[in-house]
Amino acid sequence: MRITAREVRYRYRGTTALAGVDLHVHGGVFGLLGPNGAGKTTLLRLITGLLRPRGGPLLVGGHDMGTIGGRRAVRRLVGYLPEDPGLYAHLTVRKNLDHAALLKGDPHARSRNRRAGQVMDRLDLTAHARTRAGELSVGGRQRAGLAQALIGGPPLLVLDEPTSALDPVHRHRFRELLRDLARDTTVVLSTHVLDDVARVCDRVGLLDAGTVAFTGTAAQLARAAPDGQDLEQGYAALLGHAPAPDQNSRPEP
Amino acid sequence: MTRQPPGTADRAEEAVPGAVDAPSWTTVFGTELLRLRRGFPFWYSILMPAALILPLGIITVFSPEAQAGRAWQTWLQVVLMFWGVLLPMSAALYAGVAERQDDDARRLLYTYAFSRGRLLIGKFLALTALSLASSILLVLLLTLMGAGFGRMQDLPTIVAGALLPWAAFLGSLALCLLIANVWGFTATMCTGVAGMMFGALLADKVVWWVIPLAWPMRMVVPLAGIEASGVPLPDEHPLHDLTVLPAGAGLSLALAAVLLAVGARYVNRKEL
Repeated sequence: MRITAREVRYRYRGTTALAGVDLHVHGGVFGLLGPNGAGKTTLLRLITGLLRPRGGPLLVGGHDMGTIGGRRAVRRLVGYLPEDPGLYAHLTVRKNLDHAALLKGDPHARSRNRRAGQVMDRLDLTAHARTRAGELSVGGRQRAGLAQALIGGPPLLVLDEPTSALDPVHRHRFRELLRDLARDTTVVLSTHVLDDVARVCDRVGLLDAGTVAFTGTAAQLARAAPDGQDLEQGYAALLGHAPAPDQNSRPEP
Repeated sequence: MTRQPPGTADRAEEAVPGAVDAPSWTTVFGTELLRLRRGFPFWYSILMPAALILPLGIITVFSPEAQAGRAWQTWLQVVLMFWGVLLPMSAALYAGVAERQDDDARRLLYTYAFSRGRLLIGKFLALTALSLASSILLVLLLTLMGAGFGRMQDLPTIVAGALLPWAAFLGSLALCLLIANVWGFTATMCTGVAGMMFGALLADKVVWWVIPLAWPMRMVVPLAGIEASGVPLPDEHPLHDLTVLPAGAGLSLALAAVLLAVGARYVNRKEL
């Protein structure tokens, strides 16, 4: 699924969150990087149809997100994991997934049950199926939230900081899952974890103060570093925190 | 559910052919009920009728009226009176807790492909079902008590005394749901407290219809044969007039319909 943004803007009351974003996602796994307050979460909310974009057009799978019809059409295609997974603490993991599958339009208890079982198995949640979401660890809640995003088999997965609370083992499994999903699902994820970006993302966008400072591959991002190889230094260089060897670093057309 | 095949075109097809991400009213009602029936609203619906009947029964037994041989009649009047007074607070509790329960999940809920107004109305319908169950439980418990006293001829009073105030409560429920959505939990609780006061102060006055929160208690007044303060009405008192019952129930249903229509439009247009 393609995502195209041209001069997309958004303001929250007195604060400019996005000041003209140009972005192209052509499928695969797209990583969104940037410091806190750069506009990553806002951009993800625009892509999921939670917010209406201002400024230029934002097209997701050919649908214009500036229209109600476009946003509603895209919401049918999206699995979303927000920063807070949005689980109901008093419901078990299985009930939360059942609830999500119901809202995704599956009226059959048997197929919902089967689907929930598959997703829980994939995310190592089967042992916690009957655990109330409020009793899960932070990492467990994040995995349950990801399960909720996957339950509808969406062609577009939007993940906001999906690995922030995962331990190394589950982070490794998550990367493998993403690589598996990326064969037929477009994934857009925001993250601070550069290691995730290096290992999983086909392409990366770097947001800074509401605009795109860079798009390209992780390798191209690393070339912005003084040694031309370090991803973290390349990231810092593009944000203006360190000298860059190549002053021609700029967003791709 | 099937996966989309690889190499799809720019304009993606729906994720699950034939199972669109636009659940029916029945589904939305079902999901709201699923969330509400495990938690405070469920337990409140079960325990409130019992909590009304048992302590009031104990108090009644030691009252002068009970000593004079009117234990059952007094018990019934007191239970119905408290039922009418507490219904506005029940509306506030149902609405406040139900909205608060969605606080963490609201962003996620709004990413599903149906209107936010449908969620609001689905929530109202689910709370209606829970509160109706509570009313029916009150009927059952009072009927058992009445049977124990050999007073089955009071069954029509019991049924009407529980269900008609419930019908008059629906307008308050819609009001509290809107207040909870717009202003939050605290404002909703204040509304509930105000509702109890208005019920006690206005239910037997000519202007009772002005304040929706007083309507449940107004239904109780002629059915239980008491003033809003709980003092039994003399025979032939104008407040025994039963014509207020269809008016109160009708006003409540009309108010609920209007508020839900307004509320649905409001939440549909509101951005996060």
